[in-house]
Amino acid sequence: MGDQIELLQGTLDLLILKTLALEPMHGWGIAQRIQQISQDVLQVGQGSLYPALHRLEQRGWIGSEWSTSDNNRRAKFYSLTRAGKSQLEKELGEWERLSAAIALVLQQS
Amino acid sequence: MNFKRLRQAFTRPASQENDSNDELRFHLEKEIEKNIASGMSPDEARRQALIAFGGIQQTRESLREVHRGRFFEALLQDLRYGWRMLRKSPAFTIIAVVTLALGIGANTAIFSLIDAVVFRSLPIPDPSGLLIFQWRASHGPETHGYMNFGECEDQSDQAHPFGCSLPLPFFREVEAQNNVFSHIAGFASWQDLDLSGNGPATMVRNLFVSGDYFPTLGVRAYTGRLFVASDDRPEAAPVVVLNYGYWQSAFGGSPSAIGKTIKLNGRPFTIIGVTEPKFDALTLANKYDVWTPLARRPDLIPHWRERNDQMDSFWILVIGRVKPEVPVEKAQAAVSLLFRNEMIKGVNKPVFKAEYSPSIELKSAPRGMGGSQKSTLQPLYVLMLCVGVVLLIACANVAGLLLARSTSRQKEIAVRLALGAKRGRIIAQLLTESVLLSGTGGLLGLVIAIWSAKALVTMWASHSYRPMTLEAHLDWRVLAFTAGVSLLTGFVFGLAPAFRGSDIGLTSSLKAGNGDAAMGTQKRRGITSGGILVSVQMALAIVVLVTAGLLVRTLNNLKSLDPGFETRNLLLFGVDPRLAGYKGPQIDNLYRSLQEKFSALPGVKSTTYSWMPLLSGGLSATSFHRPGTPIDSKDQVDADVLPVGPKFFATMHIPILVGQDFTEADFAAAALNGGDKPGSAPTPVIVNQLFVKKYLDGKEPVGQLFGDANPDEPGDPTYPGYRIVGVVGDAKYNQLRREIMPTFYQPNIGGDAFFELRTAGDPTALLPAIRHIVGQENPDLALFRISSANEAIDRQLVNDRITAQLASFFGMLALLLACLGLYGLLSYEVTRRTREIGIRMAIGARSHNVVRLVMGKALLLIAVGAIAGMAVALGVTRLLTSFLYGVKAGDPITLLAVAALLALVALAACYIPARRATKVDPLVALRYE
Repeated sequence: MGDQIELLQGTLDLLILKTLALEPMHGWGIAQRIQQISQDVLQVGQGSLYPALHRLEQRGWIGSEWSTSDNNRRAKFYSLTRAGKSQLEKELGEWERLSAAIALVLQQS
Repeated sequence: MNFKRLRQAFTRPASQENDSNDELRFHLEKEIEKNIASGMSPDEARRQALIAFGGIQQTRESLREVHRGRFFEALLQDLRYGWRMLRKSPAFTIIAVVTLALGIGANTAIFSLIDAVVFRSLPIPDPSGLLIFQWRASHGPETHGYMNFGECEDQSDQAHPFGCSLPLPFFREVEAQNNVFSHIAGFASWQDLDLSGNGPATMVRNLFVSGDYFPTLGVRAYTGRLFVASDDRPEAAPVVVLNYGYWQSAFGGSPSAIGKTIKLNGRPFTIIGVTEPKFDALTLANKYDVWTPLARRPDLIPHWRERNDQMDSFWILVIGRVKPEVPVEKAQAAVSLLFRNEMIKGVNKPVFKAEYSPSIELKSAPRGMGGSQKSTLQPLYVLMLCVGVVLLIACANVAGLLLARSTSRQKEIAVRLALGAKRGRIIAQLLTESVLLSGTGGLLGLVIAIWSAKALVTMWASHSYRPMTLEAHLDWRVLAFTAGVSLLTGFVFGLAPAFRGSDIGLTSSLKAGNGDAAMGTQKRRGITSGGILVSVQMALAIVVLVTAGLLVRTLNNLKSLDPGFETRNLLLFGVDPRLAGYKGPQIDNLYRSLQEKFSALPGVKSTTYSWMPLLSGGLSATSFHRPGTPIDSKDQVDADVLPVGPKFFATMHIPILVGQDFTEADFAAAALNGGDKPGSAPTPVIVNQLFVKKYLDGKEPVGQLFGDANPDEPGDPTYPGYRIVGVVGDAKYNQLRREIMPTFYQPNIGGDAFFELRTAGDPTALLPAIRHIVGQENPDLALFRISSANEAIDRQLVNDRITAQLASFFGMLALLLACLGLYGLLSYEVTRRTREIGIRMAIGARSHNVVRLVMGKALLLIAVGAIAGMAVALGVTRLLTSFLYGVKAGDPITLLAVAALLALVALAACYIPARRATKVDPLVALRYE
């Protein structure tokens, strides 16, 4: 399982937006997907996931809809909005610039 | 439009809470599932899942915070933004705020008055525990006498009778039973007293009270002491309690007043105390100067008879508090039973027959003692209707302004939408602006309301004999009303423009040009929402104007009414010699002497006196067997009675049609019959024309006999009856509105009287001479209710006059607002269609074509508004019927006159925009877009 890494709120938002860019998903699905793809490094607890989801929804970057899940239970599905898509691109660009800059600094050893 | 987002914008916290819970629960279930799938037992799966889940309460709280914070943050942001936007267009803001302030202010003012009248609670501890006794039956009582002094709403002579006056013996019986009530008290005002021994003699308002009165109310003494049970005994020393206000004004608030002896109606009374300042009385407009014990009434009420203390004389009001352990229903049942038994037994015959089901109700005192409430409330309700309509017009007006303004904001809103703002947020923000406007209007309106409410009360009070203790002040109800009305107003006028304003096709409005999607008039030539608003305003204005018109006509009808006597140059004042110790024939001698002396004054054409002056509100009536039928006939009829002095008809200018005025012999005969041993000759009376028409069947009036009712009342001396000696013209008796009844006048014997002096010039100029004469005759004689006849009539018409004036004022205000709305709409139209007008003029249209273009719509709006208004007015004014006199609610003349007025003023409002349209220079118009 490895040590839990603290995720900054902004970073979590980016991960959520990216995850939803593929397809609409409910909260539990998003957490599972992030955990799987990061090979269990990033485990998002419900305590940070749902506040983030609600904040993103208030900002209008994701939308929600109650629907039935695969096992016929009621769940809230989130999807990326048009505004969210442009926000995702913006943040991806920033993230790349940021990580490139940090890598440059760290290379100087 | 994204309905979901809109819904989210208005989601309530509770459903939000449920949503969050459901979401978290689903997450937990999925976690458990995963654990089971990886091999754990269900219990273990659950336990592991919960551990991994962590603090669910914290999560819930975080979610709550996310949503809550957002709401307030949004609200603050909206407020700030709204404030900025309003400051940017000061003209609009000022007009809107002032319009709203007038509307809200007027409503608040009237409401605060209604509030003061209806909700005013008594300034005593536990006012709701104070109960008043009220009798009720299916038929009125057979009484020896029924006195109602206006304390309490009384309908003893109507279809479903009830009243507060009760017999003294009944009160004493209830008083004696102390197992149900912790406090019980009786009181009656009866009449004013002559107070001397403290400067010149004056009349004071007095209330007779039983010993437990002040403890029952919970009133305490400011200084000295108040009555106790032992003061209310015939053998007790005569004591009197002063009202704080009276003590201040008459005794200068001096402590030496306590223990001082003054004379009430010539009898010595000792002042023992003063009531606390905040308590003045139990009913609204009554204010008492002094209180005396019930036991002293034979001393202070002239002609007091033992007869008045019997079970069939109703005059005392009873209040009490039940013991804490006794439920009110039980107490009510007990006294009701007692009352029923006593009433069926009666004195010699039942007061109430058993089948009339007499009963007693214990009513909460503040509500039970309506007194003069109704007469004050009704005009207020009419005014409330008027100001309510004015506020609606103001709302429509501001809504129109907002619609017009939203055109100029379209670009701003379109940009915000494109940037991703939710429509719900924009609507919320626009509504916040509206509420900001109406809130500011409300604050300003509050200031207007306070000032105008005070002015209204002063106007009303200055016309009463008795000072009104009505104070309109700011209490939480009035503030809540203002806040509520402001908020509601903001929503009413802001909602539609907010929806319209945010419903924008992005592309069309971002293009340069006169985007006017909000007005929705791009290509439509029909009625727009702006137009509808204007028509509505016109219709509402008509409703108010018609109301005002009807009230004004009523007032005019009343003022120009011919009361049957001459009202100009007539001085009235009252005097009560019995209070100064005069008895029997001394009184009449005094009156004759005064009459002679007054007549001798230069400037006095003629003098007379009567029991009550005409049109003063006082009334005396009696019933008797039909003239020409035997004295014991069961066929009873009613007539008004007025005892009058010599030369009454000549002084009052009432024409004597048949027969002659009373002679000295007539007065002597009447005096004989009015004493203890009536003579055998009937009392001479003079009847009015209506009496002859209704009761005499064409027989010769002079010499006709008729007699009093109840010849089968054993114990009473046989009445000699009446004999007609003359017929006079009809005249109003007590009130302008009351129809003239068959009336007979009899010679005035003894008692108190009102003098009427016909003067050559200003009646009140003779007062000093009058006072001098009276003072010389006897320094203890006090004059009261001094006024000229016209003044007295004006007093009667105060309510009508104020209501008519205010309704007219509101009507004009409504008309002004409606026409401003029309003017604004037309101006906007002309501006908007400048290009179109320019084109038309360029291809040859003349001025009058342009005018027709502009005015066509206006005329349609005015016409629609006027017709709708008249239709609504016909329905609404039916509520007014009880206020009207001489004019019907659906009076067509008034309706048409109002419609014509509206049309005229509205057309005038159209003039300027129409002129502007004709002045359009085609070249200029075509150059700019």
